[in-house]
Amino acid sequence: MMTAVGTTALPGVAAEAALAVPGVAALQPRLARRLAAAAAPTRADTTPPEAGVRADRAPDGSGWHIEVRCVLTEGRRALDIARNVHDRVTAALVTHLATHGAAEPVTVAVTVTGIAAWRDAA
Amino acid sequence: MALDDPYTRPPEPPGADGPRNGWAAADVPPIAGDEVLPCGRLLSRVWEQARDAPPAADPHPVSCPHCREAVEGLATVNAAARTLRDEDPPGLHALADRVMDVVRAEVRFGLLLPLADPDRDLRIAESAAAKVLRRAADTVPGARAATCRLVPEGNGTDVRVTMTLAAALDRPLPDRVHQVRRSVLHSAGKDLGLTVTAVDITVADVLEPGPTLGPRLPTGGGA
Repeated sequence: MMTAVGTTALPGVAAEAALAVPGVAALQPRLARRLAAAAAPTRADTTPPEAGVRADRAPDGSGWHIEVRCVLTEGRRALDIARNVHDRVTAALVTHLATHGAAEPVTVAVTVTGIAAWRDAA
Repeated sequence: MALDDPYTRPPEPPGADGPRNGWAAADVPPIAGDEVLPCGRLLSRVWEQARDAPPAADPHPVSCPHCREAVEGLATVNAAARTLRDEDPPGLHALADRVMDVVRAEVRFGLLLPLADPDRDLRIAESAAAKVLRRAADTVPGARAATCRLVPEGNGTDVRVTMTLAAALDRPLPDRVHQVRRSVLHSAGKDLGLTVTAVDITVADVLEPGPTLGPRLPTGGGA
């Protein structure tokens, strides 16, 4: 059975792993989180990195589907960074779930939403 | 209040109290989705009565706990609305602007394109890829990318690029277009990791030679 700590911490675990990958500048908050931040601008600057991660139950209930949206820095191939994010996030989540006695399959999708150039830190 | 959707009168509630002077007597049709309180009154009518009618006109809302609760809820909403109206009208405009900025930014991402890894779910926003490819085209002397669109092709990771250019006429156009295509293909592989199967290029404008080849201005299209 899935423990509460196992499920609620997934976005944070994924975000931490993704941000540790060289070439990842930031995570891109999802639309809902950015709308919420727009509605309450005093809290906009505290949008946590896990706002760039979405964790869903797999449609058949057999595990988790995690989507990470990231902004990259220039200078490395986007494919290589995205691959690295995918593998490190997957590994971190699998380890996290196993340590909480909730070993379940995890699929990870990585979306590059921007590449920050020298003149526009997107 | 939006009344343009087809409304349906709620089913007659059982045990409605006597002559339903609260709402049935009114000739205004009920609102679609209106709520029937446990006492049989329509929520909208209770609110209207609370707003318009003197308390003595109908004793029911005073004695009925459901109606009282509904009226108290309305009072809370009214107070909040008054506060917003009185204190922060410019704030509401700013809020609308911020929300629209967020929505526009989301639209600007464009399509999500598969990166060239058939075994992992890796994608890149069209806007991010187009920016890199436009810059690759601009490295060719005498060429400036205008628009750049990318669309996935087939079920794999193939992507097709469509670009419009402004090009100088000091050299044959086919050569220049060929150079741009090579540069775009090279960048798609080296900088992005996209499997680009084709780069369709249209020269849409003439680039004047000389000082106009300064720093490029942001161009629209292709996000």
